Amino acid sequence: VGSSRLRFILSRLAQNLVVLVVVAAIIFFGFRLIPGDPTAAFVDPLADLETKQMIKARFGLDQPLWLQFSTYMRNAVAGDFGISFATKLPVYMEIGPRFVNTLMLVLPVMVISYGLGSLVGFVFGYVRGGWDLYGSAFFLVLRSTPPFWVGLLLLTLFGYQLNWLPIAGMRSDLASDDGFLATFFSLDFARHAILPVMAGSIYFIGLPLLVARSAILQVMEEDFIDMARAKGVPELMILWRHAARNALLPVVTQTSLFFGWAMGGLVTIEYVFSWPGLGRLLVMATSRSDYPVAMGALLLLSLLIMTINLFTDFLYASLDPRIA
Amino acid sequence: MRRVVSLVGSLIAIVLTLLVVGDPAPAIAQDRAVPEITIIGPSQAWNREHYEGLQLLIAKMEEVGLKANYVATPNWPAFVKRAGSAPWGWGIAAANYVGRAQRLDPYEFLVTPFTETYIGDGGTNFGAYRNPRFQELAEKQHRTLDREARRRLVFEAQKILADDLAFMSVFHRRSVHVYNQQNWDNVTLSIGGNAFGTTRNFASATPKGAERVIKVGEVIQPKPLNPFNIPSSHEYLNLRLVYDTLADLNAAGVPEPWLAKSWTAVDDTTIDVTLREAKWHDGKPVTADDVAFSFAMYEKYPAAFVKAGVTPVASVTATARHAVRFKLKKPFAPLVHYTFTMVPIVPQHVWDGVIEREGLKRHPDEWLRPNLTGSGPFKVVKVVPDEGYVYTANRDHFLMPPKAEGLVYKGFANFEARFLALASGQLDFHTFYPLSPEQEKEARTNQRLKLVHDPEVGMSWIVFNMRDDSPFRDYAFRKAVSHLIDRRKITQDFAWGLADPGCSVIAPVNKEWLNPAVNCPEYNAGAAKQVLAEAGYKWDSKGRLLFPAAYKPVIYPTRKH
Repeated sequence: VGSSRLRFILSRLAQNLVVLVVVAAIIFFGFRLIPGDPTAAFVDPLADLETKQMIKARFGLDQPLWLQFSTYMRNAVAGDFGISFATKLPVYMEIGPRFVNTLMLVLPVMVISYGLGSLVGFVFGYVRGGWDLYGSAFFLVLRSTPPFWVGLLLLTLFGYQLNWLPIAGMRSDLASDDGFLATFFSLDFARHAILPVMAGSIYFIGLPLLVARSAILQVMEEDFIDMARAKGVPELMILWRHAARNALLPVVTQTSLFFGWAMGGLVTIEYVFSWPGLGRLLVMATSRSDYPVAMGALLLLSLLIMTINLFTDFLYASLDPRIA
Repeated sequence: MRRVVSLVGSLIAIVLTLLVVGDPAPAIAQDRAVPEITIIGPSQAWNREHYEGLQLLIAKMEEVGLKANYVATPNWPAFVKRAGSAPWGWGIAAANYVGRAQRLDPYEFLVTPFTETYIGDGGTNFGAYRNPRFQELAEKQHRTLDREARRRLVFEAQKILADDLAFMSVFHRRSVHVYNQQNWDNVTLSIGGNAFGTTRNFASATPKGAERVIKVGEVIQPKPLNPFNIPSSHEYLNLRLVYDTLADLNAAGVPEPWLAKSWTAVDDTTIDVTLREAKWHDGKPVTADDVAFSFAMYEKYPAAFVKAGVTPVASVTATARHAVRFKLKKPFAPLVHYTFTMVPIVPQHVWDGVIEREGLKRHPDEWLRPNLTGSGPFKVVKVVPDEGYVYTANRDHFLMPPKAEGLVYKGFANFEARFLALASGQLDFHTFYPLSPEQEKEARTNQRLKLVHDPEVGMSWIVFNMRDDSPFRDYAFRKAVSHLIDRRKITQDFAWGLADPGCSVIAPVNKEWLNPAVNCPEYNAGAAKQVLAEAGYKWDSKGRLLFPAAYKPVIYPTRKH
């Protein structure tokens, strides 16, 4: 590793650290600006002022803001993100399981939309014109359809009218939470996951498909494709071995962006299908002024997105030394 | 240029003169127009019918020369922050109180929103209402143990409140609830907003066929269960399946003995309670010590939904194996309705010394996986945060062993999915939240669902700001605006007929405590103008309302004695 590359890596890390602190500050003070009373999360709205005061004191909410912030940051550096106002659970215990639940939803959506989507995109791009136009238009329409509407439609059809699939949640009798494998690799879980994964994939498949399509269109213009044709390489071989491989790069870039975004962005899907995920936790915590949980979840998401970006940066730097 | 300077100069001089010479009393200058009125109310998403009714009120106010602007708040905490703290610049505040069975007792609705203790930042006496006579009655009624005497006081207090036009109920919803009648029999809906969400209902529901586990769902995010941490009425309901209380409200909202066999008042502040023979889920007997211990714990570690019940109690002591004596700080009339039905009895052998044993910092609510041994009709099998709870029936319950084998309580994220699950038979019951009018229509044609109506104990209301600089300090002004509330249109058109007009802070369904003599000004725009004219208000050439010439607000109506 050359010293210039090392310097690049270190400077990117330092930049990200600064960004993280700024993000934490924005999140912290942002939540204090939202109207709402955090004591409402754990006392009766009609409770007397003395009780409310007592609870504020217990959670340090009666301290000046800057002091609250410095305490929060000090604890956060030590890995302590506080406890939820509502449940009194440590924040990591609130966020951890939801993170896994969302991940188990995001991964299949990613595989389907990016795997299947890019395959279809390559074929569309290769065919170009004719039915490719109708196909692309169709997926563009899917991309523009609000996912909660598609979700409700799926629920009404498969859950209510046909009554084939469960309408809400992640498991039917809640009895299978005896460990990771038993929970996520069961028929029951699969039955619950079908509709949300479908709704998510229908929405997300459009983007990789169109990216893959335009990428392959570009590659097909290249000289080496003509060269391959001139050599007499069969068309299928040209598509898969020569064109698709080269067109894959922009799709991979997209995938990394998708992942960071989808962890928090699947909230509408989680809402429609009552999925106990991170996005829903974030929304609920925000609406009931449960600051520690909401801040913890947002910080985690920012950290995730920053890490992925950082990773992509490093990858690019090693692929293309000009960047470093 | 010089003309402009001299003009500005003389204007400044005039303003300064006015400021110095002006009357120091808060009297409002002659011919001054009534300023624009701020209404703080619910957003459309929070309470659509109320929101629409208030928009209608704004239109009607315009007809009598009043301008109003609307500030929408998304939920109760936001509303309290805006209407319940300085500066108190608003004229009308509008929101709603959720009905709860405990609130069938007039204590909470009469005291917290209207007595002087609750005036101030974060307090719930939003309009700063302070009528000494009302204050006296409100205090006295909940110290009066004799039910008949108490009723007379409550009646009078209600009447004063309504006559003073400080507060007004606009409408009470008639909630629609459904359950799966193909699977379940012996279903009881309780009034007071608990609907199907009662221990009583789930214990008595009888399976009709092969389906023997009750499937309950509600739009909530289920939290971990801990009897010393009760974030909402949903967790409270679930805790009540597991823990018994001394008394329980029946379907009509009347307290009946439960863990207590009977109670007798020795004097105004001493009550003796005899307990039934009961067992904890682990087989140990429930004793008087457990009851005394529970009250001591809740006194030390107050929890929402329980605190109001514990506060009036000075001490609880075991006097025999199955007898306890309550000493009260002051006479407290709602003791049975409130305290006895509210406070869960927890096992001493589980919770005694929990802080040290479990290594907690300061409060038993920090026990992350608490031992949930209770004595109630259901035993906890599993608590899955964010998803729900699983129970089995406690066949050995002393009073109401469940007819079902168990119960699964699931959290839903939205009302559409909850309804689809009910309609398709994936759910048997919902608990508190009613169906929407659209869903009600759907449900009428669904063979599986049985429809039940539940008139609300809570209400959507408005209060007037009675502080010094508010035009609503003047009784005539309040009366005129009260004449502009079209309750018929709100209940029939905006609420699709699924609401009843309100007036008193006691709901019509609460027959025992509602004073039938209470009435509110009828909707009548002509009468509104007449009231204003009689009080000396005038209108300028543009139709704007002006304060009377020598404006001096009359705060309360003249009473006949």
